[in-house]
Amino acid sequence: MSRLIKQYSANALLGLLLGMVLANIGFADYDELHRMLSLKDPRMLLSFVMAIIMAGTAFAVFAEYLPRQKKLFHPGIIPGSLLFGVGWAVCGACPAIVFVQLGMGKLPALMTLVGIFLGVKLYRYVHARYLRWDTGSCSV
Amino acid sequence: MTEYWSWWQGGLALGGLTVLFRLLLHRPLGVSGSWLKIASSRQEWLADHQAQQFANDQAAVSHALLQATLAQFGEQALAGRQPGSDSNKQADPKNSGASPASVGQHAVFLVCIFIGGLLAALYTGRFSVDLELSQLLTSLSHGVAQSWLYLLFGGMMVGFGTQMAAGCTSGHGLSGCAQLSVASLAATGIFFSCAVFTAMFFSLAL
Repeated sequence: MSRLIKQYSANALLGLLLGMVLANIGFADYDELHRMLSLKDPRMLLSFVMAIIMAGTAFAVFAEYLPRQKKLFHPGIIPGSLLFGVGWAVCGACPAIVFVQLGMGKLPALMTLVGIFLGVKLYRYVHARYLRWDTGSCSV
Repeated sequence: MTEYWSWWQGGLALGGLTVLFRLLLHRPLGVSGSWLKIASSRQEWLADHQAQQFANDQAAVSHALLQATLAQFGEQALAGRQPGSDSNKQADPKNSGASPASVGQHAVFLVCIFIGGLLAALYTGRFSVDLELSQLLTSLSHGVAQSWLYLLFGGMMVGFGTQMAAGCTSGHGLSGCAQLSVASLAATGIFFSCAVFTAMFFSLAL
């Protein structure tokens, strides 16, 4: 029971921190995101790159305590990333950002939320019916 | 309204969070996986329910077979085994493999991202209830109502694309690239390039 409470608490804490960090960097701001994607302002891109370098260094130094969980290179990586990239620029949100936008009072983000939900549902159907490759998403 | 964090403040916070996620939850930071859990929660519940029913039926069948074996061959044929002991184990919900808590944990995580965004917006003075996401988007889509359709369409591409690629900016971009995963490096390069090209196209269209 205490283990379950710890897991719920950890999820809640990390969710709160992620929401706060993303909001304070500006990833939930459509205009700020487009300034980054149009290569007019490198601030958020530099934050992203620094976060990767910092986490990568920590994973390398503390490899014993932070075991690697690599992603599979499956046939969906390229077409899925293409779709996601275009969708990200169109709606200004990724699966985490949409919640931050809603938290900031942006009501149109409700449409993004519905869209993401429909997209996930549609992919589940298409994958089960036609694709069926191992995406490794259970380990995400 | 306060300024956004500088690049190094944001990098430190985001990088620290990526490491903290792995330390506390023993899984890579990723949000598209939580979406998948929530979207498939009903199917998972049904599968667990069916597995439970099957386990209960199997227990009854096993018990009947055991009784028949005892009646035919006597207790010596089952030396050291108690009638019904295996079937009781199978009927135990703890052994059914059901994990409804994991869906709950993912839901708590997503709801808390919303609360975190709300708290940050209230603290920095950026909170405002708006029907318009951005003037840029409204200009691109020629109206607020049309912009909502753009968001629905864009959201569907994000949902479909992240599930197909099995990751998003956090799963592939932060966790995957930090581990030098080839799949994540390729995915991040592709989705970022596509987003840049799309944003450039929008800039030209205006």
